[in-house]
Amino acid sequence: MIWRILKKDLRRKRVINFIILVFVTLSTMFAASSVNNIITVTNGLGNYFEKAGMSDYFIATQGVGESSDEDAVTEKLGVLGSVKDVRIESAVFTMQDKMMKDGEYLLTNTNAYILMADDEAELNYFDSDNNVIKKVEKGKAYITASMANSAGLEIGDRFIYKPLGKEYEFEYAGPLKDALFGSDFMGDPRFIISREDYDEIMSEEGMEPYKGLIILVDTDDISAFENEMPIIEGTLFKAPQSMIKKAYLMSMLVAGMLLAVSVCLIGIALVVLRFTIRFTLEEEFREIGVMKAIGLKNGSIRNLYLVKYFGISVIGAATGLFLSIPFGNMMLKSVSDNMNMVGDNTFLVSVICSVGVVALIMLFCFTCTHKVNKLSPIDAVRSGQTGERFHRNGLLHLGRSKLPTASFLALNDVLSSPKQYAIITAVFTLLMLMIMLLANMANTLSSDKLMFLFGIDKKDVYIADFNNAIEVVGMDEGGEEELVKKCREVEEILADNDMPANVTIEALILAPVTHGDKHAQINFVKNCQTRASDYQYTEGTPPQAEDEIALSILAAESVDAEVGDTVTVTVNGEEKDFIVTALFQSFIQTGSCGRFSELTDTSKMKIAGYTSFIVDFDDDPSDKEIDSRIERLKDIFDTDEIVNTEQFVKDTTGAADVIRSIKNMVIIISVLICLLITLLMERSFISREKAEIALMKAVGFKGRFISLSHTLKFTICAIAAAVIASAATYPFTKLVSDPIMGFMGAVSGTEYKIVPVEIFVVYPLIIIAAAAAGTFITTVFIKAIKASDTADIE
Amino acid sequence: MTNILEVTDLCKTYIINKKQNNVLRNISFSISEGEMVAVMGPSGSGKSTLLYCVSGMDRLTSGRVVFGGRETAKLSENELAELRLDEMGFIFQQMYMMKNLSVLDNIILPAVKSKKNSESRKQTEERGRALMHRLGIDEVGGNDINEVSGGQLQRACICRSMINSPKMIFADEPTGALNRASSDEVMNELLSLNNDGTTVMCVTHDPKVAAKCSRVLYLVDGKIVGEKEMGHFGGADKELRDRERTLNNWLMEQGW
Repeated sequence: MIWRILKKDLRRKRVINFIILVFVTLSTMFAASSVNNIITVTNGLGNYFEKAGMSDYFIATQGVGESSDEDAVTEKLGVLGSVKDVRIESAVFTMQDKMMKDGEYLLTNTNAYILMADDEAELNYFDSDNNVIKKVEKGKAYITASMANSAGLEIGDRFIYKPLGKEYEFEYAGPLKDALFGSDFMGDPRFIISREDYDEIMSEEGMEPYKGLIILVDTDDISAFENEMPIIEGTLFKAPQSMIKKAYLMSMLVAGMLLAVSVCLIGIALVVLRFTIRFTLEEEFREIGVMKAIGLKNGSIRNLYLVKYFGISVIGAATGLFLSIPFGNMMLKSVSDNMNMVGDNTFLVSVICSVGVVALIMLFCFTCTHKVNKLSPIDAVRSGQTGERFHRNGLLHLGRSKLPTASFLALNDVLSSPKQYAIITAVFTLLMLMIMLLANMANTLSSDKLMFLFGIDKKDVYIADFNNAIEVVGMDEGGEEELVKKCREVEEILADNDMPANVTIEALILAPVTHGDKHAQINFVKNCQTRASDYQYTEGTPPQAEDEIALSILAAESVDAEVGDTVTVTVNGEEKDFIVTALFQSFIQTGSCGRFSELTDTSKMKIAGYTSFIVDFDDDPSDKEIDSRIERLKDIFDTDEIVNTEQFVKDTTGAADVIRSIKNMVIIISVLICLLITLLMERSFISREKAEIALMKAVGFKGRFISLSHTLKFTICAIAAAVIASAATYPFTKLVSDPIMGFMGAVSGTEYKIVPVEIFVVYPLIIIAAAAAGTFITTVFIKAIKASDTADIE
Repeated sequence: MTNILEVTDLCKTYIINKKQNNVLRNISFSISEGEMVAVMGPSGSGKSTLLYCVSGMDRLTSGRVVFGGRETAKLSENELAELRLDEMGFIFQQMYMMKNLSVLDNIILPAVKSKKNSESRKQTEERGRALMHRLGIDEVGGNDINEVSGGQLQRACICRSMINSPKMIFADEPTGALNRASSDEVMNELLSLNNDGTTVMCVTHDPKVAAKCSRVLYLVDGKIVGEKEMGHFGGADKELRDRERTLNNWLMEQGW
């Protein structure tokens, strides 16, 4: 008998049942694939690092002397008690303009390029088939996968390397997976070539300053090592393994965002289920009453519904599980291009997720069918009327309203069933907030709101022509002066081209800092041509005297210092006391850095790196004029790496485009969800309001008027959702994104960029239009109700 | 008197489970302006279907229905809806109303939507109140529909059917769900409307209701098998008893 009833129900409510099936399928697909991906990426990263033989700490140096002397470095580090093992890779550090293909730059990446011989590898580097690259043929080069892929390189492509005067031709042998520098956030392309080629390059006169070391330190106690780590000359970069893992944040972010979408979808699926179950019970009070009258127990009746939803859940979950495999692989593709993920993708995790979704849905159904217990046989006899007075329905008065009739009826219906329509509004709000969150993140990551985090003042143009001052890195002294000279040269070029401007550059200087028993090597930012007070600080006052410094919040935490504390910093080879006068937020070195006062003498310190040339035009040009000048400057300096503030932030964070593409996917998903929700709910409303619709038609209302009135109900909900989402977008973005930005260095919160037209107009309109379209399409079912159906009114 | 409704060879067929079910078979009759016609017959004889077909709520399978000089079969769904809104009034057995509107709002809703109504909403509301006053339910205007009795609700339905001053009211078992006292009140209101010149076609099972009508059509198996001219009802109790007796005798002859 149960099967007969079920069969009839499935046939009668096929649209609603189908929509629930779709929601369960989508929820399972997203949940299974994203949980699986997060586990895969998290575990996979650990496994990948293990397979690659990653050490616990990494230091990169460049220059002559100790900077490229393997024995000296091994000896210096080997004596430390915290060090278990030191491995060193010797390499050449080179820049973008040295690698050309068909007259263009080989790669679009502007970070340092690392050129290394195959037998120098102390880490395992994998090819596209996840085999360790042990030997490279002469004349060939493997290049880091993400950079090679984004430059569209094909195996067999030829390119020229011209470090000084001589040209070397190479053939692209294939992508390589580099655990240390291969993440999008690190973005330093590594070229592995044959020993013969490497020796030939290094034999060229003048190559010594470009030589460097990649030092891999194994230790059981990172903080002990950091505490006793000596300064190694020419240090460009140093980081523990945990920071390298952070650089894979973007891959985690993608999986995390999709997991958030899955959670929202499961939430929406439950809302839909609740609505459907409640609705079905309301509709079937008579059948339930009769079943009770003939002696069926509550449990048996509830089983009837639970069996149905169990069947739908199992079919949906199985379909979702099946679909999650290609979908998950698609999501993982960008990650697996960069990482060796073989054997990490666990199908079992997907199965557990699917079973979890079914269990969650069944638990939810069980609680929702509780209402069965409350219905009695009398309900069947009295056609659902209990004789009790309920709350007042109508809130508005037609006679006193100025609204058009259809709008009046829609608004009155919405206000009369606030709980029901509040659920719909909540779903629409959630969809809008999901899109707005991603849009705000993407816009902020490509706006000048984050400029302060890069230790750079907001100016007109940034010239990332790093080759211009490469010789400054590693100079024993006078590096700062040299940088100022370079700035003057750029100013002259600009003045010659009728673009007079003030040009500055920020130098990065590595210095050991001690506070009590805490030691750390901190990268300080120094600009000889600006004042420390030109920058933003979250606490304290800018360093103004020569013995004052500011520290980033994370750097201050690393040495346990606060504003007002005195720390010891080794400057120009001497230990000096400095007062910490201010704290600030920064993305530099993932949040751990400092700033000297302009009066502090650092002239004898090595420059570890520098920022772009920062151009501030004298004539205060408009944004349009700046864009036009950028185009001219690209020709003058023969580089594409000349950008405005927004582009600078976007390029540096490198996350805006990834988030933007996730946002576009979420928009499509949200529109689909919106269409499905409106279809399901409007179909249910039409079914429940059949009598009213028939009556309206009988009295003389046209079908299109009724359709309009129904469409307006959902439109009103979507408009209400737009208002709520618009009001909540900033706090919601802050709530969700602050921890992520904090992870990247902005620990005291970030000011997010809201693009008003996009956030308050475009996205709300997309959801409003989807809601209206979904409802309007569903109102075709109104056509099937005839005026003469009034005869069937019960 | 001019005919407001002319029905010629009306047929209505339903196909149920591939079987043809002829609900109405070649029905022809006409109703003059100001008449009050009752349609009687056993259950399943096609009374309600006839009412729905002639009022444009349902399409005919064949035949011809002319209402106020316009052939309904030739009108589009929208034109039929306008015809029902402006020229016809409807009363149903179930007294169905929009549950989210007050009684008064339910009454004035068709007037607010009607294109022929050029009044302001306030004026329409006043007219609605006047109609309610006339039918003795003016105190429940602001009430929800679940806050009034069945009799009051049916009178509200009559008000709604009257709000656009229709040429004809179609009533399907208007007293079917009411007790005797309420039933009498509702029928008296319909009579009163008819006395004011509104044509009424009323489907009923109840000889007491039909006895107040000027003519009775008797339907069996989709065919009009008898027609009884009753004459205008003056309103006296004795006359009503006489009419009931005459009608009952006639109905017995028809096989009632």
